[in-house]
Amino acid sequence: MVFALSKWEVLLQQGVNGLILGSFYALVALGYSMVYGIIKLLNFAHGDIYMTGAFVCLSVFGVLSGVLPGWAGIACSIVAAMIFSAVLGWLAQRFAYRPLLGAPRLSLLITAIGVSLVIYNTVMAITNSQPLFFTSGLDNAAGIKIGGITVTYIQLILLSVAACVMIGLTLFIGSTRTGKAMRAIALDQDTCRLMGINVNKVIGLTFLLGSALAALAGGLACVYYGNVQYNMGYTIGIKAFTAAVIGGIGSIPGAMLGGLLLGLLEAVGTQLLDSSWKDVFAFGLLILILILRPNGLLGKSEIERM
Amino acid sequence: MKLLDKAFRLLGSKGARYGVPAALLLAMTALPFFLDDYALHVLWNAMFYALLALGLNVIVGYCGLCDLGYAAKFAIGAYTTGILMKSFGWNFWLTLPMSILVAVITAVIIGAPTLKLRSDYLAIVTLGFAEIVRITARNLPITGSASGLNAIARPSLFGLRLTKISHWYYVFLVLVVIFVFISNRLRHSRFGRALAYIREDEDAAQAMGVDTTRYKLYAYMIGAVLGGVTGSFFAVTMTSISPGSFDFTQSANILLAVILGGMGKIPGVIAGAAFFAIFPEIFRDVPIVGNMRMLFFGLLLIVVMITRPQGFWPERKRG
Amino acid sequence: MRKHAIRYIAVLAALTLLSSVFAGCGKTSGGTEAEKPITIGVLVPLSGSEAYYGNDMLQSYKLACDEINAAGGVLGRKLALYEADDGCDPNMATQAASKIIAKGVDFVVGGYGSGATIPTLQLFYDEDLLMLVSCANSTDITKLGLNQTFMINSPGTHAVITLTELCKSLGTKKVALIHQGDAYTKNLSDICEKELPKSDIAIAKVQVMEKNTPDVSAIVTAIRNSGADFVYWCGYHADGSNVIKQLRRGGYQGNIAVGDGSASVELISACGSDGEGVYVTSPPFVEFAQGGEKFVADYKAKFNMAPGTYATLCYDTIYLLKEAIEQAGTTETASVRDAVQGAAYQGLSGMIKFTPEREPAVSNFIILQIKDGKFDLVTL
Repeated sequence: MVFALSKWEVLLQQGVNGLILGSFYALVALGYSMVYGIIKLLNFAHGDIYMTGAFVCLSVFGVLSGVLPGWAGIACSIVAAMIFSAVLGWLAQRFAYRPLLGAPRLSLLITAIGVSLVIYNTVMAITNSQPLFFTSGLDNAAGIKIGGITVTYIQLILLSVAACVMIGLTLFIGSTRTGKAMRAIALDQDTCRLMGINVNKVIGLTFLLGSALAALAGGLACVYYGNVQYNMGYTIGIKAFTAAVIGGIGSIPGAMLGGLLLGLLEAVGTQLLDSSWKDVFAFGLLILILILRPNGLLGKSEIERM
Repeated sequence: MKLLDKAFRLLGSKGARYGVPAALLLAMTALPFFLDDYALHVLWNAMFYALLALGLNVIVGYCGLCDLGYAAKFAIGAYTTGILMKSFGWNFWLTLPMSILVAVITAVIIGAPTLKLRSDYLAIVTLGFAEIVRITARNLPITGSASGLNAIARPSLFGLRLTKISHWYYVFLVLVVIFVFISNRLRHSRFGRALAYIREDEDAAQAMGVDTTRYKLYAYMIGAVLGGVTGSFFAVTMTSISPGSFDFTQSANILLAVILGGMGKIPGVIAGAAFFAIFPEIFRDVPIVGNMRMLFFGLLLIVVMITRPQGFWPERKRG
Repeated sequence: MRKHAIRYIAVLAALTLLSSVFAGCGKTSGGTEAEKPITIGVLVPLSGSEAYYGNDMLQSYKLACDEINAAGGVLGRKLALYEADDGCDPNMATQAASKIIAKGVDFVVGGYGSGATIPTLQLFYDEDLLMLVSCANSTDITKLGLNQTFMINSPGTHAVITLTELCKSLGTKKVALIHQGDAYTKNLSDICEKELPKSDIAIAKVQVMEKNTPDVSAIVTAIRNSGADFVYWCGYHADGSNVIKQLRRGGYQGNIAVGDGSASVELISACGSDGEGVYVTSPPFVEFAQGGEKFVADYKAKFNMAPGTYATLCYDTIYLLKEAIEQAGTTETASVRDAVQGAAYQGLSGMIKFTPEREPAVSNFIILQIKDGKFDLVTL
């Protein structure tokens, strides 16, 4: 057959596929992990922030397309999406989550579900539940071919953006004052307050950052996949959370590792097994990891704060 | 809000405690003689949600665990009944014990290893498990794959074949009474007090010698059984079940009913479920509102959580 | 304890009493048989994710009814529609069915999603109501064996007959199928899996793309590796363009066809240049129908929007019902049922006739191909 690939080429190609998918998971997982790390909230609305990012990217590009075509327009749209979503995430934090920081964790989680419902249904109403399509006019098949393996330019850009962001974030958390404050709050909020750290401000910043990353992923997804719909955030939300848990929730390198692992697992699983059971394996793995290694691959063990 | 509390207290006062409920139960029994099928169907749906909410209430309200996959529990009951009736020709009433058994087994499989974990890990495990159940039901031939099971036979009770919605209305009314009775007994039992203790302060409960993991598992099992039984009845009332009925939206709906109504408080939970089932029917034909009811629910949820974190009609704390 | 229990039920009762006040309104008023309009219940999704399609269906029914009423009605009586929102959800759909039944309608039309439609059919049957299912086309509908349920839209089996012809004419050897795991798309994929090998076309791979999981690159690689020279996308248009783009981006060079779930003009613009040459096994597209221009113009004039994919089928459903009632000379269910069973109605969507199993006897599927940014009718 003309189209057939050799065994190794298939595996390598699936590796590339898995890396791309994993980068999306990792970007969204980072936000989950940061927020969970700092206020122990499973931010259910995070997937919807991702979706909002994709929509803003699409709309801004639609407006800009006459003025700034091609990559410049795409870059501006994604930045706009990041800003919008960051503000949205911050607002959710300020008005829905902050009043409940002292309340039982269950209330906080349920509020997050409420925020998710609000964003989801607002976008659904605005778009009349119809999908929107992103068309940039760029040649989406152009790329490098090595043997039978294809890596398109869009994929290369995507991978490098994701890598840069992850490295940048690691440096930020690891060596800046704010990063240190974030880690300190994750350990003990009350002591941080006593030490003169503006806890609310740092929590707000965490939401800004996490939401911006989700929107970055959403914007990239919009450009890469080309279709945007109000319910696109749900599955990636759960998957990214799964990735964060696999890597060890609260851990930044863990979120990246978890995301990439999950992406690779899905790609290879599709090749070797059957795609109709793919999600069963992903969630099965989640449950298994939680049981065998509740703190994930890179997470530190800690005692639950009551 | 103060006024609301006062009204609720009045409803809970001695005089109202006996008079109001007796009259209303009587009214519920008499309603089918005055209402058309549609109204009965809406009421049936309200009772159906009330059953699910009462089941979930044991897990969420009494024990303070977060279950985001309650649809799976009810799917397991529905599919157990559906498969036994369709593939093995069982009588509906005989499938009920099997439903209960399967519900207990799955609850142990999921609960035993995970209930030791952090509480919000349970949320994500239940959510993941619900997806696993849904996808499995969708892929297997015995569950009818994606189209589900259709033409499930209507059962008979004392020689009467239950085909009309008014029949099911009474069946579910009886079920609500039974579920309320069970919930009420649970709450006031030693077991129920242990659960309340766990919910309020797990560490303290443990320190006082309550085997928290075991009690949590029991609560989880009871919740699963109630959900399973409801699922079985759902299967024969609807006569067809498909994976689409058991997605995350369904789980979220039930959870919302419990939370909005007031975690732990039985009338609150029922009111939440009834509100959830009836509200969209009333406003369905109103433009905009009908289509955006979930948006409204989301907002309501946030507001209720912030202003009344214990739910709309919470359980009164004893001093 | 017991009395406590009773008190709690009381709350439910209070709320339900309240609702019954609302539900009680809207019973039909009297009048003699001849003056009363013939009421047709319409079961369509008007809220939720499928509201767009339900609305299109309802508008098409309305257009047909208004035309018929303007021309004097049926048997001297006017047609009246009574719509109920099924939300494309089984539970909501049974409620909507009860609502229609309680209204005391004479006939029922509608049915968009098969999953939501199926549980309602028994309810209508129990009330001796004729149900003409306009869109939902899972073969499970007729498998229920209810002799008052008719399927207007061609089922997946017809799509696959058309697909087989297409595959043969292209010299296809191996087909890869992708569906979305729900009742409708999986049904289509299952039929392909069963029927295509009968014409010596092998099935290379069956894959699932879950809704809203946009990444199909792994599926594309697996399909390339399977040696398929034809890919049939059984899913919906929301994800269809993405699948086509990723197939091309992933280096797949064979033929691509999409099912009726993706038969939308939006597919063309969303795919861009990657869409060129893609085939569609499509329900009757109004642009290619006899008298289609007038329908499109009327529809646009009335509702200020273009008709959707299923508009002609719904429009024809009402006219089919009108013909059947006139032939029966009465609105009695049994007589009209027999008239529908024996009907041969030439509508916008093609010839409507039924098999004894109450499925369409004539396939209404056509093959379209995207050429130069628009749909072209393909004749084999």
